[in-house]
Amino acid sequence: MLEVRNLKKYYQLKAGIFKKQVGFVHAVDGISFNVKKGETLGLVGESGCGKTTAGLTILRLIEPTAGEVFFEGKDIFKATKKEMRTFRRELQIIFQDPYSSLNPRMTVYDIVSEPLKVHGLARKKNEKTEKVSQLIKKAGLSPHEHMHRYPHEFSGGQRQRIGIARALATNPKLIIADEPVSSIDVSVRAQILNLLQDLKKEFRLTMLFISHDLSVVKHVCNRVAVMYVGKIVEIAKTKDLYNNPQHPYSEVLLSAIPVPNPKIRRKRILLRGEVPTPVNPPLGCRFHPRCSYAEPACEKVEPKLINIGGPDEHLVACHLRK
Amino acid sequence: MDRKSSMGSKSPGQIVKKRSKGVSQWSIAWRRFKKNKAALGGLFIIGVVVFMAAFDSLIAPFPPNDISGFYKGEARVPPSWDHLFGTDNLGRDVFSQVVYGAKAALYVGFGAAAIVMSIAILVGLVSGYYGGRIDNVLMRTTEIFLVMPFLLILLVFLRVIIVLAPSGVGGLSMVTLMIGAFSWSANARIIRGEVLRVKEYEYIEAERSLGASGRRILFRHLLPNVLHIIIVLTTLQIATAILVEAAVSFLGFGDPNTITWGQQLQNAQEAVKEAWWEGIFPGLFITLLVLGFSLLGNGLRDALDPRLRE
Repeated sequence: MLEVRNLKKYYQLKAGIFKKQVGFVHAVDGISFNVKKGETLGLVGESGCGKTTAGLTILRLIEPTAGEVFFEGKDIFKATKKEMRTFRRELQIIFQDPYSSLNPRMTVYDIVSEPLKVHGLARKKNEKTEKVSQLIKKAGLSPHEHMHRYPHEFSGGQRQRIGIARALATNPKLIIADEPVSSIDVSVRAQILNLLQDLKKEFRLTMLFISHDLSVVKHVCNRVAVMYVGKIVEIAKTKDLYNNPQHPYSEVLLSAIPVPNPKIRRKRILLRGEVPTPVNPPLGCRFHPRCSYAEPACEKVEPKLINIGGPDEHLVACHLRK
Repeated sequence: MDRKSSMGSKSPGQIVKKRSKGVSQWSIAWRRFKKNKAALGGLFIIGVVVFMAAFDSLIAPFPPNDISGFYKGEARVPPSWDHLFGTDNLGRDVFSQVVYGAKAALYVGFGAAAIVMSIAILVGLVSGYYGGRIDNVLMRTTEIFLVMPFLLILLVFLRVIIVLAPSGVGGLSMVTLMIGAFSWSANARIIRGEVLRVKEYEYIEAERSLGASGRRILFRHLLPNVLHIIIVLTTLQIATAILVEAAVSFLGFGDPNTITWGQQLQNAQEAVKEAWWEGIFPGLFITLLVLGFSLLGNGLRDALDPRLRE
């Protein structure tokens, strides 16, 4: 349904009074993946690895440097203004920060009806009110009590519900959820996740779920893509990835998930060194300076994503898995 | 505190009805503004001057520019019950002239501020939102206006226009227009800065992801969120414009056919020692009105600043 091919986003680094270009930040450096209809694909990685940039670039909220994104067979980056309007209706985003993603001067009604107005989906006033109260109810708020209130009168979790109602207003087919629960209190996190799951079923949504929280991803995603410094290192079914990670980096990431039972002893892999800067990523495999299995080839040749799982599609970019 | 007073006066039914209605940030700001004594004082001063301007012919005991006193030998008589603020060099009642001057002060203040803010809002919004080359061109132009010696240029332009233009052009409207045309630059920069801050918020990004037009984002989303700055700047700009008009008139570049407080100051300057009342009272009113607008502006800033929100 959504196919991303070799997507790149570089930011120019400029210095001095003449704005001389001194380099590039390789925020997203050639990633490819696809999201199948009805599934939830998780995109995980450390902060700064380019997951959010990837999400925003797919929606063309940031202009890409190179690459193609196909949504239902049509290239988003080559779309005309008119085609873009359709894409804007069918692709929606849920933002990370529920505090800055709602206009503080607008009531909940105004915020949720904004997509309807922009796309001319409900012309009559009572039609609009009807649709908005439906959406608010679906998002788990009370239309009677909450519709004419302002964002600052709500808690973080409630605000995220408003954001979800807004994203659903245009009846989208695909939703990019950009860390939808990471700035929400842990106690309401599960509620929001379950709400997303329910709505996904009800609206037959496809979802790209961007997160750094591996336990959340395990809970909601069908497949998971792991990113490291602008590259995808592994894509697999959630179960396969969590039980049998193939890339050394995935292995390290998974070993960092906290376990609720303190009596269980487990192996924790600690990495040496720092995450390399995306301005000057290491040659060859980007993970090689920190990888405990690294071979000479890893320093020179960049590994390609290859399928090692047969029909189950377990893709990994590592020289050691062939 | 607030809740207690509103609970006591209303029946329970009304409270339930009220609950589904949200409290906008504007009403929070108003609640906070009401607690600010200085700002309310400013509002009161402005109210008095507006009242003077609205009912000037009823309040003033003498008609405007009435020089009949001059023929009775009443030029520059000190304050008395007949002439509350004394009379000036031509025997005009200073109190009456001060009352008639209120209209001119408000006209220049509001007129110039309207011109200034229209230009500043347009430049600031467009420059801040679109960025890039548009921003570069607009901001360099703004800087040209910013570095000009404002008062000097203003005086030169006023003199040139009065000399070159056919009679009838000029007057108070020309002074207003000139003040407006030359003092928008600082405000444009401040508004641009605020737009740059607000446009980074995710709700603007959300709007873009909906495919809303640039104009819709500018006027329905950015403008309401920088409006608090605009309101404060407008209030302070009114004060500045009144002060500038007084300076221009005092220097003899104003409209000699209109009664303004600055004009009165100019007449008074030849006899500061002998007839202090001629200058003190118009000067006092200039100071009061400017103070009023400044207090109001500061109060509004405290009430509207989103960073001070509890």
